[in-house]
Amino acid sequence: MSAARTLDWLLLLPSLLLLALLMGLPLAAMLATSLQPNVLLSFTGPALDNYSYLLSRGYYLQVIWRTLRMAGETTLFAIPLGYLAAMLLRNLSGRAGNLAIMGLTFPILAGPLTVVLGWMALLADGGPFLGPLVEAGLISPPRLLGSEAGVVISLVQFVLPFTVLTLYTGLRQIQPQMHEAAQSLGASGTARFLHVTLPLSLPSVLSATIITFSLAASSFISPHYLGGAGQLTLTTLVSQFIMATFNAELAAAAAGLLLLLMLASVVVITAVIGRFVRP
Amino acid sequence: MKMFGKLAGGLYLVLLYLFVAGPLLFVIATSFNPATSFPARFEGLTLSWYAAILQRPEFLSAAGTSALVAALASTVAVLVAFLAAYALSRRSGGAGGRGAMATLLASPLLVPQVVISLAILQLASAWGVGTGFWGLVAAHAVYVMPFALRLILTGLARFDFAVEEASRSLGGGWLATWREVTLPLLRPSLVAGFTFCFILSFVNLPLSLFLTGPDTATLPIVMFAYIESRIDPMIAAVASLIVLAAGTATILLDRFLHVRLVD
Amino acid sequence: MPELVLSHVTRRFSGHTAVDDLSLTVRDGEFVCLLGPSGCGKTTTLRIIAGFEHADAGRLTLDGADITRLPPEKREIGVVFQSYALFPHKTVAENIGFGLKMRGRPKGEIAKAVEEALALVRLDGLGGRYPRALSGGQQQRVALARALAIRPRLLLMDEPLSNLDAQLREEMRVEIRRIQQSLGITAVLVTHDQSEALAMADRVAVMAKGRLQQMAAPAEIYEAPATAFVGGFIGQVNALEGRVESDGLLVLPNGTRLAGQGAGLLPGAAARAMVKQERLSLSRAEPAAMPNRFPCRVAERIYLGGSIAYRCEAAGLSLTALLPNHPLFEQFVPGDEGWIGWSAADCAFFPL
Repeated sequence: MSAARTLDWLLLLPSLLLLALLMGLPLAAMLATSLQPNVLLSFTGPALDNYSYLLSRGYYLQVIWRTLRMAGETTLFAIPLGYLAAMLLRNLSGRAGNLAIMGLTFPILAGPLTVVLGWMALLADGGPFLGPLVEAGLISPPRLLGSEAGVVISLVQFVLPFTVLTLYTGLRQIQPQMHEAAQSLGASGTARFLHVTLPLSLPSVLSATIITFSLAASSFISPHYLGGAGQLTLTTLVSQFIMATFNAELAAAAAGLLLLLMLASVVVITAVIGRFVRP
Repeated sequence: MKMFGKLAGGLYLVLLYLFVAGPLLFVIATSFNPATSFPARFEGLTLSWYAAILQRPEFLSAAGTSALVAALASTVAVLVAFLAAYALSRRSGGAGGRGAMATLLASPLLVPQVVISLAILQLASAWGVGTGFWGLVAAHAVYVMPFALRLILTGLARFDFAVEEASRSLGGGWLATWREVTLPLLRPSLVAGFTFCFILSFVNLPLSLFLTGPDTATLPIVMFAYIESRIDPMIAAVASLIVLAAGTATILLDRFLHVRLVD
Repeated sequence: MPELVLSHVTRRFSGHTAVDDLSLTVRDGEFVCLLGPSGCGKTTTLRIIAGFEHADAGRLTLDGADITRLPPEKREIGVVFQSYALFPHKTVAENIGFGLKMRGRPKGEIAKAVEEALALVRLDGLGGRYPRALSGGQQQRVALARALAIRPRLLLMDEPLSNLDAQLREEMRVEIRRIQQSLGITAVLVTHDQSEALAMADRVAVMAKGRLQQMAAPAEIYEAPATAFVGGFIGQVNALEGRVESDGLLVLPNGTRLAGQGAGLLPGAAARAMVKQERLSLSRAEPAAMPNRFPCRVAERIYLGGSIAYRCEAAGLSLTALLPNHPLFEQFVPGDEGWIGWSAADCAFFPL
C-alpha cells in the first residue's frame, strides 16, 4: 500500500471510529436488548419473542402500518411538490437563487420543535387561523389535530426543504447544453422534459425519495404533538415504552423493527425507481 | 402564454415558501399575543411573554447545556468530518470505493434520531453506567457529523490541491502548508460546517429524549417537559428567540462566508 | 552545477506503468521540453522530479546529489503549475514572497526579492493585487515569478501555456525563453504542443507510453526522428507500410517500390516509410530527379491559409502534399492530373 493510501486511511479512521463507537456499538447493544426477556414476556436465552409479540397484536400492527402509510403519503405529496419547486428554482441564479436556498434551509435550522408549535396553532379548530373560518361558517371544524391528515400535513412541510434541496442539486447538475441540444434537434418543451430532464434527474429523484421517506418514517415530533396517543407511530411507540411503560426490551424491539422496515423500504424504493435509471 | 407560465411558477413558489415557513412566522406572531392560552385569537401586542422567560431560570440554564453539548458535538463532528472529507477529496485518494465511503459516513442521517438516543441509552445500561452528559454529546456528534461532511466536501470540491504542492515546492513543510494554505482556504467551509452542526444540535429534541437527567436537560427537552404540563405563548417566545438566532446565523453565513449549502 | 539526471526511473499506478525505465540528463542551464501525447507519462515524470510523486524504481540526482527520497520542500526546485495554483487568499506579493517566508528570510529581503521578481516578469506595481483580480496572462507571470523568487536550482513548468489564448501563448513562449536565458537557469517544461516544444527548447525529449523515444535538438527531432513513433508524432506525415527488399528499398503490398533510408533493416522485415507532407512535391511536369515519383490525380484541396494541402491518389495510394501558398508554386483543383514525388533523403524507414 502506498504512502498516499495509508494517509487516506489514517484520515478516514477518526470518522469510521466515531461511526463504529457511537452508532454501530450502541445499535448492537440495542439489538441485543431486543432479544432479552422482559416484564411481560419470560423466555430463556436470546430469542425473537419481543418481535413476534409486537407483530402478533393488532394494535401494534396498526402502529407499524400507520408509520409506513404516513411516510408513504408524505413522500407521495412531497416528491411532486418538491420536483416542481426544484424545476422552478433551478433557473434562478446568483442572489435570488441563494436567497431561495436560504429560505428553504431556515426551517431546518429553526428546528422541528419550533415549527410544530406553529402547526399546533394553525391546525387547531379554535385557533387563530381556522377559528375565524369555522365561526364564520365557511368550513366545518376539520378536526386536524390528532388526525392522520394533520400529521401528514406537518410532515410534508417538515421534509419539503430536504426534498427540494436534494432534487435541486440533482437538476443543477444537468448541463444546460443538454436542453439546448434537444431543442436544436426539434424537441418541444414537453418532449425535452420527458426525454432529457426527467430521465437525467431520476438518480436524484431516487435519493430524494429515500431521504423523504426515511425522514418521515423516523419523525418523532410531528406524530407526538399533532397525532397524540391516537396516532402512535413506531418512534412515539418507542418513547411510550421507555417513558410510560418502562419496557426497555420492547422499546428496543420496536426500534429494531423500525430500522428493519426503513431498510426494506429503501430496498423497495431503489428497486422500483432504480429500474428506470439508465447508467 | 410564456408570461402566464412565469406568473404561475412564481405564485407556486410563493405558496410553497409560505407553506414551508408559515408555521415559523405564526409562532413568532403568537409570541406577541397577550392571550394566556395557546393557541388563541390575537388580542393585541405584548412583550410580556419574553419577560416571563426571565422568571424561568431553567430555560436559561438549559440553553447553556444545549450550547455546551452543541459546541462539543460540533467540534468533534467538524474535526473528524474534515479529515474524512480531505481524504475523500485528494486526487491521490483511492478512486475506488470513494462513493461507497461517503455513503457509509452519511449513514447516521438515515437512522431515526429516537433510535440513536435509545441505542446509546441501552449501551450505557449494558455497561452499567449512566448516560450522563457525554452520552448526550455522543448522540449529537454522530448525528451532525454527516452534515459537516457534506458542507466540507462541497468546500473541498472548489479547492485546487495544486496549491498545496505549490507551497511544498516553495519550501513549506506539510505543517506550514496546512497552516498557511489549506486551512485558511477551507476556513469558510469549516466555520459553516461548525455553525450548521451547532444549530442542528442546539434545536434537536429526539436525540436527547432518553439521555437527559435533571442536571443535563437541553433547551428542547425543557420545552418538551413544559409543553407536557401546560402550553402558553411563553413557549412561543422561547421558540421565536431560537428562530431569531438561527436566522441570524443563516444570514451571517451567507453574508460573510459566501457559503453555498448546495453546489 | 545544477545538472539533473534521471536513471532508470519507473512509476507504476494500479494497472499501468506511467513511467517506464526512464533515463535522461538535463544539462546545466539547458531548457528541455518533455513532449508527448496525453497519458505518455510526461506529467508524472515532472511530478517525480518535483517530488510530488515517488519513483517506484530508479534514482534522481540534482547537482550530483541524490534527491530520490527528498521531500519537495527540500529540493529547491521551482514549479509552475498548469492551473498556476496561486494562493487565492494571498496578494501577488505574498504569493511571490511565500517561498522566502518559508525559509525564514527577513521581511526587508523578501520585499526586495519580490520587487525584483515582479520586474523580471514585467508586473511592477501589481504586488498588492489579489490573484483573482489579474488576467490569465498576468497570473501566469505571477506563477513564474513565485517559482523563480526562491532562486531554484531547477525550474519545472507543467503545460504553463495551455490556459492562454493563442496570441498570448506565442508571446509567453518568447518571454519564458528570455527569462530562462537571462537567469541561465536549468528548466524542464512539459507540453503536448509540438510547436511549443520545438520553438522553446534546447533539446526536446519525446515520450510515449512512459518511455523516452528520443531526446535531441528540435531540428534533429524533426529531421531525423529515431523511432516510428517520433516520425509519426512530429509534423504531418504520410505513412506507408511494406517490406524491406534491400538496403534503402521498400516494396509496398501493391508492388510499388520506394527508395528511402533505413539503417540496419534486414531484407524481408516489415517496415513503415514516412515522409513529411511538406517534403512531397506536386507538379505538372515529371520531377525526373526524384527517385520516388508517381503520376497522380488531385482528389481534394484543403486551403490552410499559409499553405495548401492536396490529397492525391497515386499508384493506388493516398498521399497528402503540403505546398506553400505562394505564387511561385503551382495551384491545383480537384481532378487535376500531375506528378507527386519525393527524395530518398526525405523518406525514412522504421521497423514495425
